[in-house]
Amino acid sequence: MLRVARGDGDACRLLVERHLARVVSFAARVLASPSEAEDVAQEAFARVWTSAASWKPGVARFTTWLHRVVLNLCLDRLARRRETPLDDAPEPADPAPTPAGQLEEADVTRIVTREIGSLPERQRTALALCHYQGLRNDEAAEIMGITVEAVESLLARARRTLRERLRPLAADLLGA
Amino acid sequence: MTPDGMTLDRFAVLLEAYGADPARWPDAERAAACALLDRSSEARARRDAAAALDALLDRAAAVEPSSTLAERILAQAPRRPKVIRLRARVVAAVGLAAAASLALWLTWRPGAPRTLEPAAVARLGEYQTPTDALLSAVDLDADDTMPEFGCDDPEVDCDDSDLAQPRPTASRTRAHEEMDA
Repeated sequence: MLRVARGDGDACRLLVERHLARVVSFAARVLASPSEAEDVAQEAFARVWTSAASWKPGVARFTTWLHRVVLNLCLDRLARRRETPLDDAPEPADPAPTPAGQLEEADVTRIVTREIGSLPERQRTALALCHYQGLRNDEAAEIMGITVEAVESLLARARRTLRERLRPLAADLLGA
Repeated sequence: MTPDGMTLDRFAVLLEAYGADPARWPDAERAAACALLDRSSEARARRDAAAALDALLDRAAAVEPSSTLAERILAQAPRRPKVIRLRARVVAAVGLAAAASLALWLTWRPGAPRTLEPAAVARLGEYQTPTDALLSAVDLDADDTMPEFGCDDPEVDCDDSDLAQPRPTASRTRAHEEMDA
């Protein structure tokens, strides 16, 4: 970050290469909208550039701080989305179940993605941080501003819901 | 409950929250949970059920950034300030000048010393130092002011062999003669 603050182009590029894919992936899962994820990523890195000069090493891990920035940007968008009149809101994805035994790989991906996207916002965020971003429970707690126990509870509820909703899919795919 | 505090209930909570991969379990409980997994068939059955859900979750779409996103982000990145760039140019210029000076110093050789023709040497005349000029004005020769080595005063019983003594100066010798008189 010190090199970024000095305008070192190589350091800026390295930072983007290391973190961009994870930032986009995290934003897409929290927003349940891949199309908005790139806008969030661009805004998040704009915050990185402006915060580099005042960055204090050792105060926070960069990864934790960056996730918190991305989460706050996502929550702002979700709040604005809730304020959007229903007529202007995008059409929800088709929830019609696909008959078992006829599932293609793309169908499985679409269904699982849709079900994760339909989880409550905080459960979705906890699942994104711990399962998909691979962060520890204490890091997820710090990013979300809650306790480790609360993270654990959100994760358990998210997985229980998904297990129920994906049970037909699991039976079809895994013979479970 | 096992000696390390891990129960089947707690193990089930870990699976429920974090899934079947021990890498996702809390650091403080991972070893105890793995130990329980080794010795409990029920723990293994529950782990396998959790792994089936993990496998489904891993099929969720991964969103990759578009090819132009990184460049758009980097276009907003901070640039090196102009004053620093100017300083870098000055440093480069000074370095180049120093290198050029060193190269010149290493390669330049002075020409052979000039020799004068005999006629030119004759025109210069005899070289006379400033001391020569001052002493000749009072009719003194610098060689005459130097005393002889040794001692010729019989009253002080000098030993001629004692040549290690400090040599008296011209003024000391003259004062000595006056005292003797």
